[in-house]
Amino acid sequence: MDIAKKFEKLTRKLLLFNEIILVLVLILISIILSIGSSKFYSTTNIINILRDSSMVIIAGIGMTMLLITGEVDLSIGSLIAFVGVVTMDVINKTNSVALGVLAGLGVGALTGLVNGLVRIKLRVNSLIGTIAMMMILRGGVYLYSLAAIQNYHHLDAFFQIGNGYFLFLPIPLIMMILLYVVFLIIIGKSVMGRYLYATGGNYTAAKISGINVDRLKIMTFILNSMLAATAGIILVSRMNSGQPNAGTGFELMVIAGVVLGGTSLAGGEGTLIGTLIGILILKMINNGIIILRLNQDLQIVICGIVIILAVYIDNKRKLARAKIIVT
Amino acid sequence: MKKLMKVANIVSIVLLLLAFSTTFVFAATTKIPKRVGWVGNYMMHEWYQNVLKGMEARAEQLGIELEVLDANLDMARQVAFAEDLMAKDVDVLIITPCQQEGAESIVKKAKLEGIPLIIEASEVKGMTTLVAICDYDCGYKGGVETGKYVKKHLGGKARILAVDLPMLRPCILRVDGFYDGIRTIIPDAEIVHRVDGQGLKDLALQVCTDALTADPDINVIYGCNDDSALGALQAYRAAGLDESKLVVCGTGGEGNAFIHALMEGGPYKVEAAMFPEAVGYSCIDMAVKLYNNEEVPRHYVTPSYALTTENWNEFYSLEGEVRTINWHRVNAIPGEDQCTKY
Repeated sequence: MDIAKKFEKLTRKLLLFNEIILVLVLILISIILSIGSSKFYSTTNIINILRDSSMVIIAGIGMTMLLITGEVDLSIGSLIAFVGVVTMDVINKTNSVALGVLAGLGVGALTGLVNGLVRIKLRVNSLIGTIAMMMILRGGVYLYSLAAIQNYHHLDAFFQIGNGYFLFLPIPLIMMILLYVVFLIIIGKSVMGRYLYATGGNYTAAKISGINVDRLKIMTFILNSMLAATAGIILVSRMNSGQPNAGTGFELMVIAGVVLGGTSLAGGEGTLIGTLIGILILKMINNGIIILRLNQDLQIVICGIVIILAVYIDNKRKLARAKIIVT
Repeated sequence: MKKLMKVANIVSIVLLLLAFSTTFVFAATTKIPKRVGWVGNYMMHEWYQNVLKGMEARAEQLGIELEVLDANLDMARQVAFAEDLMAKDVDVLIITPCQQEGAESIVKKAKLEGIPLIIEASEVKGMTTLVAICDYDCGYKGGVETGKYVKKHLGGKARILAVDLPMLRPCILRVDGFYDGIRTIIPDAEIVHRVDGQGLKDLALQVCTDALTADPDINVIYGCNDDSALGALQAYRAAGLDESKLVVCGTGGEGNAFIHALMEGGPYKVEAAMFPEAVGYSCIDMAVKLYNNEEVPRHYVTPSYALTTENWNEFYSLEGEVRTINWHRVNAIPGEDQCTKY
């Protein structure tokens, strides 16, 4: 009896962790899709899902940090298009992949800096400010180049970024793992990580306690955009051309995955583990719908339902946790 | 006899003179509009940039001033721009509708104002004339040519990945036409996957990656536009599949990407070309006809043709990134009077 009661108590405590619920959801979806099609659980398909998710997860790392501080960035979709065009153009002109990558990352850093300065110095709400940046970048990419920038350099190193393998793992996946581990440590274990949560949890208290919240937010905007730029560089390599119309809806996929993973839009809460699982859930659903030959419009419908359910369950869980703390 | 010959010669000369003078009189009486306005729906797209090139070329030949405005997929903006141009008393108005239903108000207003109106791309209720290709027939020609390639080089079996854009009827017609066309050569051809790439290369890449995981023995890829076909090809390459067992057919010939793909020597072998420059050129010709109150067809069909690695350079030349259309060759394409399917 004691053991049964203890087990029940432990289960209740575990279920208070959002990530546990998400893992259960992920496992459930995997089982359903595996039953639906044997192709789902093949090595090829798993690798495809992970490779395709890599770009979104890399961008999701930045978005998680930004949301934790209480800010948001809707310009990352347009940014990856701009970065792709610039990267390909620079590589074509210089025959140097390194210079192209640096140029792309530079565009990302500059965009993040501007977003940060608009938020902090001009006091423009980040939702509005980054929507404006989205429009600037989306229009600006066509000023830069009306047509897609084709690959004239044919450098193998460029192809490898998005399509290569190291041992049996796709290079985008390796890049994602490396960046993920680095930022997992930063957010979870470093002073900067604690400052992020403090700033998002209570801006005024964080400021009074001596945290340079303005510099922190600007830095977070820059990191977020540079991570999105990294995703853009992977994408341009995968597409083998810099497409001005790329990245449509990308920011919504990233934000949906991050929110599904338990990061609060109000700030102060969120984990990279939750982001990883949230994005994998969405990607797995999209993948499963194609594999099972279902109507593709279901991708949007099901993802919407999953997000609503996940946020509802998360709210319930937070309420239950708050009750436990009070009692 | 000699007298008869003389009379015959005199009559011939008189008739010849009459014919020439009629031509001159006709030419002199054909009025050329001074100003033509075009409200496009998405000028940023390569397709419309090339339509504009064709329009500008023909307008320059005829000495027409062309004013171009871009609605950028905003129907309300398109209506406002159209009204602006009508207020500026353009001689002829050309509209590429953002939405077919939304453009009906422009058609009504133009009739009220007495301004000749040409619709480009997709039909609008109440219109006088439409300048557009036949999407179904264009896809059909691509399908027939692709079928021939499959029969000759790929063992005669076709398992097709079609990258569609179901939101737009022209794209549905292209895929339907392609499928019907390929089945004239390979009756048991099968569409294994028909996915929505939304006409975008990165989204086509994503959805085709999943489709190719489910069915790696796909050997034909058809894209409802060039970006769809190229995105699917990238997905095929990323999956590490054997390109020698694949044929790709794109649609449109919107930009230069398809020319590079045809020249590459890879699996991209067929382009169901729609010649955007010819669309623009034809719009100006129709504008002149309407301006002169001439009878015009309800749908003026612009040419489409299946380009291959062997024949593309009969229709286009490419120097650097500048492509030039071969008007003689394009104008010689036998046209349809009306489309097989709408």
